[in-house]
Amino acid sequence: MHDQTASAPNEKHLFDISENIKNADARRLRERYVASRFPQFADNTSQLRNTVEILHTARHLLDDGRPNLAEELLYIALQEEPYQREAWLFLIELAFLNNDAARFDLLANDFRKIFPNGEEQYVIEAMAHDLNPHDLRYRYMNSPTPLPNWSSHASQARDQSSQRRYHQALINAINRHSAN
Amino acid sequence: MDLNFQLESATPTDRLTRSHRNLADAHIDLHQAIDRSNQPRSTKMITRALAEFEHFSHSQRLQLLQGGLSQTEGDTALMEWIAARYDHLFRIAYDVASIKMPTTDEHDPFAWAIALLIGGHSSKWRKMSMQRPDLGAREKLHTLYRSAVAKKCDTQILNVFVDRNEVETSAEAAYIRALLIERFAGGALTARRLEILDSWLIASQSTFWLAREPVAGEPVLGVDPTDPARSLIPLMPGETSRRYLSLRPLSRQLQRIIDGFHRGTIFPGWGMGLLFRVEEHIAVIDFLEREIHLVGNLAAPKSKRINAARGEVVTMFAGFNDIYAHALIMQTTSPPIGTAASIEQIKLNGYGAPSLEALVSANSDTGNFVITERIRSLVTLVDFSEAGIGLEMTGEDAAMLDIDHLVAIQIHPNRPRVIGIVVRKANLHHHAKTLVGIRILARVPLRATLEHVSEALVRPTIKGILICDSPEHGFGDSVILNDVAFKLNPTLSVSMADGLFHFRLGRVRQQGPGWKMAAIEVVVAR
Repeated sequence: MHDQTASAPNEKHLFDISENIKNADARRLRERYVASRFPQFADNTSQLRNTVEILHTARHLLDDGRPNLAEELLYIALQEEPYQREAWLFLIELAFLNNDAARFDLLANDFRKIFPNGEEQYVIEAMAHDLNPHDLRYRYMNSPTPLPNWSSHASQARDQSSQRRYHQALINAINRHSAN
Repeated sequence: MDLNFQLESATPTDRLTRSHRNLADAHIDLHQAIDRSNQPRSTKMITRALAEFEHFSHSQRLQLLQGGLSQTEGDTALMEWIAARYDHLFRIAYDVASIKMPTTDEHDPFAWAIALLIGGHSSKWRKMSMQRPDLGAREKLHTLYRSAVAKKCDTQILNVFVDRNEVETSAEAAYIRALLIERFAGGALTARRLEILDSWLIASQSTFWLAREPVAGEPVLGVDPTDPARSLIPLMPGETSRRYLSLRPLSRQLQRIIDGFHRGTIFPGWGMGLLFRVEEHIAVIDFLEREIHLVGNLAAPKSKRINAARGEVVTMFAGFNDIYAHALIMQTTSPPIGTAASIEQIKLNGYGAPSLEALVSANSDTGNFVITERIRSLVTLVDFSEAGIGLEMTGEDAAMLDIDHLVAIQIHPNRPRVIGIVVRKANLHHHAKTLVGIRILARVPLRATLEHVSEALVRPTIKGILICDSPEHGFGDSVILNDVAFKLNPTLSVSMADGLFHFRLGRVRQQGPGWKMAAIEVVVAR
């Protein structure tokens, strides 16, 4: 999913692994790793370019209490295709929520390089000010209120009625068996 | 210990040859030949003996580690022999490090580093060969460390060889690695995974150090080098220790290992781990992530013990297909139609462990179930909590189970079977029994026949085991399938008394040989 506001692709950034990916053995090992670590992305690395699917899974991993795994999936996806705007924003907000100023700074800088005209810049700078009020670069910013919600959990972001109905049906079935 | 007796007792085997006997004899000779007035010279002798032994045993160790479950008596004897060799070399190296030289300057700092390094090897191979830990070994490790500190050579960086690979270490770093191996060799890792983890620890040794004060906010283990009863232990908030090991460097190293896989490289780039499947490495990553998280969140409440009779004999089924076909007959998503008598239709010609053939069949990813004579085992319950079950079984039974295997257990007659995953295997001290730890996946798993959602007139069905988690939103619910069914990535439907549901498979929450537990994402509810 490419973005119209993306900069020229020859920028050096956090996720530049193109040299390694050209090596067939390294590529094979990476693919085996991804297939084993994230079996639902096993068949095709093109799945890692499917931003909707990546965000969907990352949100569910947050639901499972596995934020590290969600972050890793987003990193892998961006290594495969750096122009996935929503994946960047997801990571940036996670770094903000984890109060990780160093990581936030790295991610925000890389995002700015790839999407120099990104409309989210203002919010990102406001978040940077909130994380590090003494950073003179952001001294005129105000804290973002409310948060942009780029990294919401699946359970917050989706219509839950079908999932709830299934869950209740499963509980009823379990209760019947437990009673027998 | 009489080493010749040890060698003889390892029979019957064709794996131990005259060369093995000669090497054991050479170690006895070496122990006698140690120059007790010259530590540097003796250190060189033990270093050479270690290199020779590693060279001699390299292909055998690799073959044993690649063998997995299919070990013969000969394999077991060979593993025990290797562990005995490392034990003996450790005793010799300990004696060498204990040599007192006239002045401090005449001591050889390598003596401590080599002894502690071999001590770690010894712990690891004892575990791999399913032997009890040597109770005196930890005291020796502590003594060596204290002695290195006293001689002010504990932090001196030295280059040593492990399987012909040069690595940086120090007496302190080798001590920490030995203690970490002792901690991690508690039964939660298979031999292959322990070998992978050890190669990571050995290659990362220079990043480990002990502090006199804990670092606030970091996951920390404590150690008291004067207390032989204690190794590295997690500390409760407010608890103190003589020395502290922060796990932050290990955590950072783990991140580097993960980053390496992203770039298509395996850390550390040498060692037997290079030849093992990527899945084994990922299991070690999962294990370390869990360990570090647990140490950092020690104040979290433990799960409640459940009042089940200790020592009670319970029934265990192993492998996805056997569990689906036999353990969960009564536990279906449809209202129960069977009777208690239907359970007795299970073909049982005897109790004991499932045969290897049965296990291969049960864990097979072909999805085909082959009737075998032994389907279930009777094992002894030793512990039961909301989160896990401890089972005691004979070594023979336990040999057929490995970490990540799927099992179902019936605690009480006429009550639902609990389904879980094997997370720990350890030999018990008091007799030849093995303790197997099970993490519970569901207390009432439901067997379901799932149908592919398609326009086709004939829709294939697949077997699934439905798992219910507590959150009311339902995103915690899962289904266990065999690998083949999972790879098809189908949209499936399941019919229950309260409706028909279409769902797709989400992220994988747990997996083991031949099975995966995937999240359920409901797309249609009618």
